[in-house]
Amino acid sequence: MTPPTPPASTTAGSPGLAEMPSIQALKDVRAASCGPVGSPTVTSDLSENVILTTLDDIHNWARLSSLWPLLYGTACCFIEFAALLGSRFDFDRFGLVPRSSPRQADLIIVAGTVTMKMAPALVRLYEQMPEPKYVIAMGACTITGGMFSADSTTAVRGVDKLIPVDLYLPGCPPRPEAIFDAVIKLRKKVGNESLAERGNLLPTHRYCTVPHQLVPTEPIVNGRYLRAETQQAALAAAAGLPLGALEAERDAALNTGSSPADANLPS
Amino acid sequence: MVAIQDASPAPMVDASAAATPAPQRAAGDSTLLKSTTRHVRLFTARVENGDLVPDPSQLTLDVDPDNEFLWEPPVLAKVQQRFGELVNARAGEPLNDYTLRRIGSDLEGFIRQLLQTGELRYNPDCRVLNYSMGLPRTPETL
Ligand code: SF4
Repeated sequence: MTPPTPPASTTAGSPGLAEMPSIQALKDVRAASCGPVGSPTVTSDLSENVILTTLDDIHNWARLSSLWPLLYGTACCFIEFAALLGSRFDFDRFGLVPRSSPRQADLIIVAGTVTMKMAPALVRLYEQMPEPKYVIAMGACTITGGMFSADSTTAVRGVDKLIPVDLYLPGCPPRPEAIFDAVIKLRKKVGNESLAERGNLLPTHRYCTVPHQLVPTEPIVNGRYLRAETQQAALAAAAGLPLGALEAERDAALNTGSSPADANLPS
Repeated sequence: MVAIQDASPAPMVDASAAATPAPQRAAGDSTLLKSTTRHVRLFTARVENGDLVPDPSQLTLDVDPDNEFLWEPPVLAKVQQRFGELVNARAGEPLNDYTLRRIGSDLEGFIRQLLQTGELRYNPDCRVLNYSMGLPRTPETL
């Protein structure tokens, strides 16, 4: 082992820096203490071998190694899901790449409370995903309605009332590690599937159309409030001013000691 | 997969567009109203060549597209007949999401009744066995 050499260039007058070992010394210490190995030889091992597998196995292996989840979140559970996307929990190492389009996603992790108003959107996103597709119900809300199950008039009591659920992931909210656990269990499920059974997944439509006597009505929520007089007055007051002008004006008014009314500011 | 020709939602107007009033849509003109749950999908549409075409004067019911239950023709006919009754019973009420949801949840309740009286059975070959209307029970466990 090489003893740490004194730093090559030290700056007089900075004792903190002077005590630091040089980069070369750090490298030497590391090389002497971490038991280095040569480069891996997996590729050359494989190239001299024959691998026997079944079509099902290799197809499933490819699919389970690249489960692409849809970026979908409706409430607090998504905060944990978002933590999973970051480098601390690093969810890409499982081959999960978040997609923003249902057309490219294999998996939807329903993270958060689903209400009856959201239900058609969720069902439509699910229908837009290509087969084979999987659903993880994440959190108490998506399993039973969670804390909304007692008295909410709008929360759906479990997304299995809306779409087929492959895996229930309990918690309020589940930790990111629990989501990994769910993904690993889903991978086991994917690994067990057979190509021959794929035809069973097609939906069967049993349509029935009837005329009705209901009265068509305008939707209540139509964005008209943005054209209301009060809203327009508020927008007009700020429209003519460049960014930051309000603050500058207010500062000027404070500095000169004049009252806010003189500066003609909206209160 | 059904191609749903859906209209975009009402556009958000910003301050610059506020001066010109947005064109008024005719009531229920092109927006597809729906109530979708797992076994009952309701749309203000008609079916043409397997596609849903928005139509404010008709209601289309799709029953259990994911095949959670085994649908014998007589049971399916009962559900569709019940659907007709529910729609007729609400004649004169406003056509909006809320009314559709009430019809839809009444139908879900009806399907649950059929399941509990044994006329409807869970499909064991469903893609996942969720038993979303309660675990199957045998007489001993009742
Ligand atoms: S299960 Fe808990 S954490 Fe998750 S969405 Fe519901 S209330 Fe929020």
